[in-house]
Amino acid sequence: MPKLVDLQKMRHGTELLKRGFAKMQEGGVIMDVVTPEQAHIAEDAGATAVMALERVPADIRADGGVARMSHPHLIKGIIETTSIPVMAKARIGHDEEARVLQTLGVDMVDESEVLTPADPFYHIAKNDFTIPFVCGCTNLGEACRRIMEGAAMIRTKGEAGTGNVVSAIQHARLVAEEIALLQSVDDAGFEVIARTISDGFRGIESESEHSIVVQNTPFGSMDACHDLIVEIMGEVRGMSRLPVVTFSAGGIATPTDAALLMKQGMDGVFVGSGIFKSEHPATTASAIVMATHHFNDPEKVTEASSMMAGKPMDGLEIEKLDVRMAERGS
Amino acid sequence: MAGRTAVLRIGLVMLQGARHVHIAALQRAAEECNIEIEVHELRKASDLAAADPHAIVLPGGESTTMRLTGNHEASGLLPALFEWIRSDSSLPVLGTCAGAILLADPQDGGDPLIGANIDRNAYGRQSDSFQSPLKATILGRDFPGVFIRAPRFASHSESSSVAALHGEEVVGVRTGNRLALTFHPELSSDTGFHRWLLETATGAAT
Repeated sequence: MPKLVDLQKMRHGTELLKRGFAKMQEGGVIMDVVTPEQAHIAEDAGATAVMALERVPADIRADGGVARMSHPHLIKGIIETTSIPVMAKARIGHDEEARVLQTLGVDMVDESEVLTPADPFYHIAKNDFTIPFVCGCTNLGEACRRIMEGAAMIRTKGEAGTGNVVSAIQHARLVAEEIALLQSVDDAGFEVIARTISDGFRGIESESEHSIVVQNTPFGSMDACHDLIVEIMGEVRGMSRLPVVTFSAGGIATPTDAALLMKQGMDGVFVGSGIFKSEHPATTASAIVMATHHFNDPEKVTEASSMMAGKPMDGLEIEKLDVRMAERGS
Repeated sequence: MAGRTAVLRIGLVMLQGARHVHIAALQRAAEECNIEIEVHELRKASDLAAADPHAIVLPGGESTTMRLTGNHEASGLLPALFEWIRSDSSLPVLGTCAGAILLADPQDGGDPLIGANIDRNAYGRQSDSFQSPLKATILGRDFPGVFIRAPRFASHSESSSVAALHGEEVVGVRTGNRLALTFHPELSSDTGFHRWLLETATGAAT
């Protein structure tokens, strides 16, 4: 750092920097990669960031068992060979995995239901970290709770590893409808919704043999949490959208899937298994980037669809799944 | 600008990145300056002539993605945009972060649009992103700097001037009416640089 800079005045890890980082991803495609070579393919296709992990969700689903944070060597290897931001997944509520990812130099942590949750009651207290977090949601309540906990970016959960876009659409529509509800209710109705959302932090109460009442959470007292939930809901009502960048994720496999979600008002898309479980990953990646950019132009989306050089990934029906990842971590 | 009734058309490069915060900042600046603006989204080459902009904004984001999307034949925006800007040396242009990279290093075989050498992502990783006050020499005052995985100017040409300093480090370079900043004025509440763009476009800048 050159002289004359007052180091005391330099601030790192602020909410503005975290949310600002997420804003730089707008209009982008974030791709799951499991090797440095795949990271290069993603970068060359125009990904705005890569998600470094050991197995894509489709393989995690097929393998079963407990899915954890990836090995630091794998993440480090991808960080060292990639010029775009690198994200990595920590288990829901696993502060220590997230701390390791921050130490490794990861640019954003995905606190992800694709991995097996570590804490059945609480997510990570994300304001305790310098780097930003993205979290999944299935509805407005989950989105507001994650933002209150410090998430700088929200994504739909969808149903990862299925190549089936139906859950991502379900979650995008539900969030949009619940935002519309928030704008139509009176003050009393608003308070009822706020209470319902805050009560999502009380999961531990029903697990006890005794009549415990949660007073404190890892994010502060219940009263303070409720006040922040009300504040966030007010922002949502004013903006007609979530106050953080909102991406779609979970089941996107084709250029038209990406365009469909962008048309729903999403700011961008995560593609997990959809790239490297397709027959020709490099062209699938380029085609999805192109469709995401030109989502409003049917001719360009058609052009992107025509670029597909092989089959997209195989898909799974949601009704036949053994594990529904979207139900993890509400 | 008093008495001006014409609407100022601002071309916003929509290839990728933090575009909506620029729209919000431009609209706040327009209100403060009492200038009426229309923001025209530039996604492909033909959008340029259709918009015929009085000023252009290149937002922050990932420059690698912007190059791929903007050079792809489906868009063709970037080569057309660079030629458009070169053809009118008085056209006001604001590039922030990745936008500054594209202006300083257009990679289209033509001259740079900003006379400076720039290194991508030169401060480290997201944990090294920072907020810090800086000197906006072009505005003659302090400005809240927001640096996110920011690039760094390695040098600038004699025909260019310093527009902003963080300590002794150059973080803003001006070449004619083109301005390249390595930070994000659109993320702060201070509209100084956006007002500069609008006022320069109306010919009212001092």
